[in-house]
Amino acid sequence: MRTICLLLCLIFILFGWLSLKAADEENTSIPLAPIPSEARRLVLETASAFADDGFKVRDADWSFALDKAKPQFLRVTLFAELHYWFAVASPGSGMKLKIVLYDRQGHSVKGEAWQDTGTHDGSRAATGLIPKQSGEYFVGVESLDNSTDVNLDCSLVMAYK
Amino acid sequence: MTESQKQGALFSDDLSIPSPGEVFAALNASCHPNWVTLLTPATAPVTTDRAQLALAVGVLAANGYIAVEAQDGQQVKNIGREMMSLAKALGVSESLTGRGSSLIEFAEDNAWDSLAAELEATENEIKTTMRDQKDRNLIVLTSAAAWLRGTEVATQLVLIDPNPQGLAVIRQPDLARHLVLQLDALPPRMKNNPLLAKVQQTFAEMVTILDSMGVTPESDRSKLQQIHDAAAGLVKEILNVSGGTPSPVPSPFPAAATMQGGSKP
Repeated sequence: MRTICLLLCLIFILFGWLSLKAADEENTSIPLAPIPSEARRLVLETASAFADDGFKVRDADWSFALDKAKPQFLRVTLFAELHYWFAVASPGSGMKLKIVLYDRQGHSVKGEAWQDTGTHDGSRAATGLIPKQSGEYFVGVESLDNSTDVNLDCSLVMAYK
Repeated sequence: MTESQKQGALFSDDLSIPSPGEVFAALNASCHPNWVTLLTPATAPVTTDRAQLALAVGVLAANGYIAVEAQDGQQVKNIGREMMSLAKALGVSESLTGRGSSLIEFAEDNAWDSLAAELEATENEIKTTMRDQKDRNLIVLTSAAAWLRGTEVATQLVLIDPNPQGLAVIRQPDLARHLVLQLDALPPRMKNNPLLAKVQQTFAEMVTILDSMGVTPESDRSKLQQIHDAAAGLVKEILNVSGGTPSPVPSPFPAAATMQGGSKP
């Protein structure tokens, strides 16, 4: 009788251990997708308008903190055959963001500008360009809002067609 | 924009290097390639060298885009499987389980735009996992290898059909220079890897050639051939393809023939 009880106990312990192990494996084998930042969510929402228009949105973003006094710059290589749009967004509402494109010499290049009129969440801006020449360009992002001196969480994406 | 702002501008592994899809879209507009002829069967190298595996991810991703442009669903599925095996060898496959099945599903549905997006997402997810696992140094290798394979294809096309727009896609000395800088910043233990030393040397040679190039492909034919041979040879070494010498550029084919065989307009 004592042996049977002992055996039953062992079976229960073994069963419990196996269940825990399986649950643990299940937890580790289903990876959690990274939670996108609010800025990224907003910029992807903005860029979806370009995707609807046949643009391919690059599956990557540039996340950065923007200070009013310090514009941020990103190097990119653009091709003359393509049409590009760059979009930026920040969760803070009512901020005036601006994207300026520069050629490799650092001269600003005129593109199509779009700025949110406050009808969407957060703050958003976008600039489109069909480059005259293929090569290196710079994407500059700045805040035009005088009341903002804190670092704004921003996210930028690019699309092409 | 000031000189110091230019110097301080971020070079991002993810956005500063054009994706193969972007390069091929520009080539589509300038050269109208017959993508079917550019397809090459590629298998993942059997190696434990993590640097080589990271380079191979980039090459295979670029091959995936070529297969998408050629609208060859079977080839996309094969490449997807090879990318998954590379991710497994690199230990970054945990988050990619859904990607493989999506690639197969899109390939079966001939959803070419979705496939291109999924390929880029797969490549980026591998890079993100590398970053999360403190393997950030491998990311630049993947991006550089994708650009290398794109350059091999672009030079092949311009050698066959010389045109200034196609040449402009290739002539990117600033990008090549940045890649050299990124490779130069790798830790010494990685730079001792003979394959990486060769990658860095090839890129440095490419900068010199690209800097000296003009605007007409005719006058730069020998330079284009040099870049093509260097890129093709390196791609073969990355994939462990026997016979490291590059394949000769196929002879020019009539323009009408280039539009046949399922290539995109």
